[in-house]
Amino acid sequence: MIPMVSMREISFSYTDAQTSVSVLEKVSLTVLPGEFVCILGNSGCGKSTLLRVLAGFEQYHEGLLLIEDRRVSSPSMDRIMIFQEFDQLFPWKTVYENMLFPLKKRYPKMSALELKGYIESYLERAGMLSHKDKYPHELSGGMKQRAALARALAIRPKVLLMDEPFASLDPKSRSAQQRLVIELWKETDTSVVFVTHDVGEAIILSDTLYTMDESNGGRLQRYDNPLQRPRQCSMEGFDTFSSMIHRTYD
Amino acid sequence: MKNRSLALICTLLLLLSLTGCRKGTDGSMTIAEQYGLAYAPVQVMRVLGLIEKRVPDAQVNWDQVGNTAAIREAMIAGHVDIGFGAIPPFLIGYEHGMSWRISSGVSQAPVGLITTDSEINTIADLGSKDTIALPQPGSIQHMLLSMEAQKLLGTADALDSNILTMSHPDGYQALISNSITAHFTSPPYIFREQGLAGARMILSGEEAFGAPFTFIVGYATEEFHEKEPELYEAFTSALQEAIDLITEDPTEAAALLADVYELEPSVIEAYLREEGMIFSSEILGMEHFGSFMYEQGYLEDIPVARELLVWE
Amino acid sequence: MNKRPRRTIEHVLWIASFLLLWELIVSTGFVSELILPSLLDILRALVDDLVGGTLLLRIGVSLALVFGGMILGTLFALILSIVSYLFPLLASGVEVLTSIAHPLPGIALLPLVILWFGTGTLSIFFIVIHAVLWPMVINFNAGFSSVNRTFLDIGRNYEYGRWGLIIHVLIPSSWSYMVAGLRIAWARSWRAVISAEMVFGVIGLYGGLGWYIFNKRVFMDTSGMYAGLLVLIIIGLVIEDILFKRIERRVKHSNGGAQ
Repeated sequence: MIPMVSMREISFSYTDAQTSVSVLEKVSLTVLPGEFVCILGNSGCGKSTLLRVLAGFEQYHEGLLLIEDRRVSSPSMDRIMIFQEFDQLFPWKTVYENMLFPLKKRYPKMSALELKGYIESYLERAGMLSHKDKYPHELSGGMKQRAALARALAIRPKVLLMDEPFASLDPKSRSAQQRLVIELWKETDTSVVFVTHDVGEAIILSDTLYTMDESNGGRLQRYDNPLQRPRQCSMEGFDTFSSMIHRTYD
Repeated sequence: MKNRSLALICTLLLLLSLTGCRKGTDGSMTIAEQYGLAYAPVQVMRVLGLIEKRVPDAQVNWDQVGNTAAIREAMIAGHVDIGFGAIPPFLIGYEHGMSWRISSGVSQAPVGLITTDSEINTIADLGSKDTIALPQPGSIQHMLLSMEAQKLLGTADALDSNILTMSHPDGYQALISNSITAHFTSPPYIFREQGLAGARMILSGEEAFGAPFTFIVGYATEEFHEKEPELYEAFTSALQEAIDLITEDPTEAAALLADVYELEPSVIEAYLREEGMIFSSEILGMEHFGSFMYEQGYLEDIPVARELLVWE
Repeated sequence: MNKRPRRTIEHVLWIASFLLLWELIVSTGFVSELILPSLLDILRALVDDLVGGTLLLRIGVSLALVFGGMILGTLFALILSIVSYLFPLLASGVEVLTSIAHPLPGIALLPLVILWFGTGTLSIFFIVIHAVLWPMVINFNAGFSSVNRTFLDIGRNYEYGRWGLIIHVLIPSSWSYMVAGLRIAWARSWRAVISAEMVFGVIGLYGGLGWYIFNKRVFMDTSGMYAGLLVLIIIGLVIEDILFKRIERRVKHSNGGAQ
C-alpha cells in the first residue's frame, strides 16, 4: 500500500534577519490512507510547525514530503487544515457561504442546486443545518468548530490536518466534538493528522500515536493504539496505555 | 446640564454683543480700505492724514476688507462706517434694507474684457466651454458683461454659465496660464494684461455701458451720517482734497502711493495718467445701472430717486 | 435600553429651545434681519428654492461631485494599497507620498490645481479626490496589515493565488477599515467641495451648494443663505448620523473583531 503521507527527514527552522531557530531536524512520519494519527507534544515543541509544513504553509529546507507519490511544497485542497482559533470562518460570510466558496472551486461541475444539497448534508451531519444562515459572530465556539469541520470534510481532502482544534472548548463540548470527528472520519477514507497536548484525547482518537520530543529536534516516537473503538476513559486498558505514554512523554 | 446652561448663556451674550458694538458716537470712525488704482484717493487720504487734519482729535481706523460683500456685511454689523465699491453692489444692499447712501464718487476707470484667444473678437464668439473670470456675481463687471450680452446675444444672462468667480490677481494668473478664456478686470491688472503677448481687450466697460460711468463710489451708513456730522463732513472734504491732488499733480501722488502699492513711482504715475483714469466726486451712470438691474431682475424694484440714494 | 428615547427627547428639546431663542432674539429687533432673519423667512426661502428654484440641482451637483470623487478616490486608494501590499519597495514610496499629501488641506491646493487643470468642475473634482484618496490609503493599509493571519492561511489552503487572496480575503476583511476611511473621506471631501465652491464658484448649470450659498451672499439674500446652511446641516446629519451609522453596524463584525 502506498502511504498517504510520507515525510522523510524533513528539517525546518524559523529565520528572521538575525537569528535562525531550528524547530524540526530530520523528522520522518508516515500516514496510511484512512489512518487517524495523533501527535502528542508540549506546547512549543514544534508539532504545530510540523502540521504547517505538512499543509504547505511553511517551506521545508531539507528532506522530502510526498502525498501518495507526488512531491508537494505548496498548500492545496488535498490537505485541509483546521486551526485551534475559533475564528476560522470568514466573518463576512454566513456559515453556508463559508462552505460555498471553497466547494465551488473544488467541484466546478456541480450545479448550484447540487452544491446546496451537498453542503446541507454536511451541515446536517455536523448538527449545523439550522444555523446555516448565521454569521460566525452569532455562533458559540463549539458551533464554529463544527462548521469548520463540516467545511473541511465536505472538501473531501486526502488528509485532514487538525491543530488542537478543541483545546479552547470546555470538557463537555470537547468530548462531543471528539465523537463527531470520529463519526465523520469513519464515513470517509480521509487520513487525519491530529495534533494535541492532551494524552487522553490522543488515546480516544488515534489509530497510531506519536510523541514529539523537542529536545531531539522534534523526532517522533511511535505507539500503536491497542484499544478497540468506540473508546472512553473508563474502558479497560485505557489507564495502562495512558500511563505508558505518560512515562515517556513527561 | 450645568455646562449646557452655561453654554447657552454664553451664546446669548455673544449674540447680543454683536449688536452692542455699533460705532459712530464716540468721535471715531472706521473706513474699509480696498486696494487698486481706482481707490487711489482713499490711500492718499490715509497717507496724508487728511481727515485728522480737519478734526485733530478724530480717531480714524482703517480696516482691510476683502470684497464688496464683506464690506456690506461689516457695515450691517456696525463695524464699518464708510466703504468703497461700485454702484451695482450698493443698489443690491440698498434694496435689501441697508441704511446707507452714496456720499461721493471716487473714480472712473477703464475696465474691460481681456482675452488671449486670437479666435475671439466679440463676446458672441464665446462658446459654452469658454470661461470668463470676474470678481463676483452682482459686481459691476458682471453687470457690464450682462449689458453687452443683452445687446449682442439677446439675453442678459446668456454668459452666466461661463462665469468663474476670481479676485483680480487670481484672474490675472489664470489668464497667464491659459486656464480661462477671458478676464473682466480693472486697473492696474487691465494695463498689465494688455501688455501680455496676444492679449487684447474685446470689450470695454464704456462700450458695454454706452456712456462714461463712475467705477468706484464711497458709501456711508445712515447712523454715521446722522451721529457724526463733523466727521462725515471732514471725510467728504478730505476725499475731495485727495481727488484734486491726484488730478492736479499725478507725480506727487505717485510718490505718495509708491510705498502703499510697492511699485516704482514712475510706474504708478504712468498708470494714473492712462487714458480713462479720471478721479472725480461726480456720480455718473447710477440711473442706468438701476434701470438695467431692475429690468433684468437683479433688483426687484426700480431704485428710488437719486436724492434718497445719495447724501445731501 | 430606555436611555435612547430619553436622549432623543433631550435632543429635540434642545433644538426647540435653540430655535425659540433664535426667534426671541429676532423679535427684540436688536439684530438686523440682514444678520439674523426670522425662521419663517428662512423656511420660506428654502421652500421657494426647493420648489421653483435651482436648489435641488445645486444639492445634486455637490453630492454628485462628492460621491463620484469618493468612488474614484477609493478605487485609486485601493490600487495604491494593493501595490504597496504586493511590492514592499513601493510601499515605502506610497507611505512617503501619503504623509506628504495627507495633511494638506484641499483648499490650499486650489491655486495650484487651477494652474494644472484650469478652472471649474474638473479642479473641484481633483480637490475631492485629494480629500478622499489619502485617508483611504491609510485605512486600507491599516486594514491589510491587521488581517487575521489564519484567514490568509485558509485562503492559501483553498488554493487562492495572490489576487484571489487580495480579492477574497484581504479586501473583505478590511471592510470596517474602509468604512472608517470613507467616513473621514466624506467629511473631508464634503467640506472641500463646499468651501472650494465658495472661494471659487461656477455660475450656471454646474455650481453646487457652496456656490448657492455664495451667490445668496453676494446678492444679499440672507434668508436664502441661511436656507443653504440649513440644507448643509441636514445633509451632514443624514449622511453622518444615519447612513454611516447603519453601514458601520453592518460591517462591525466583518474583520472578526480585530480592530
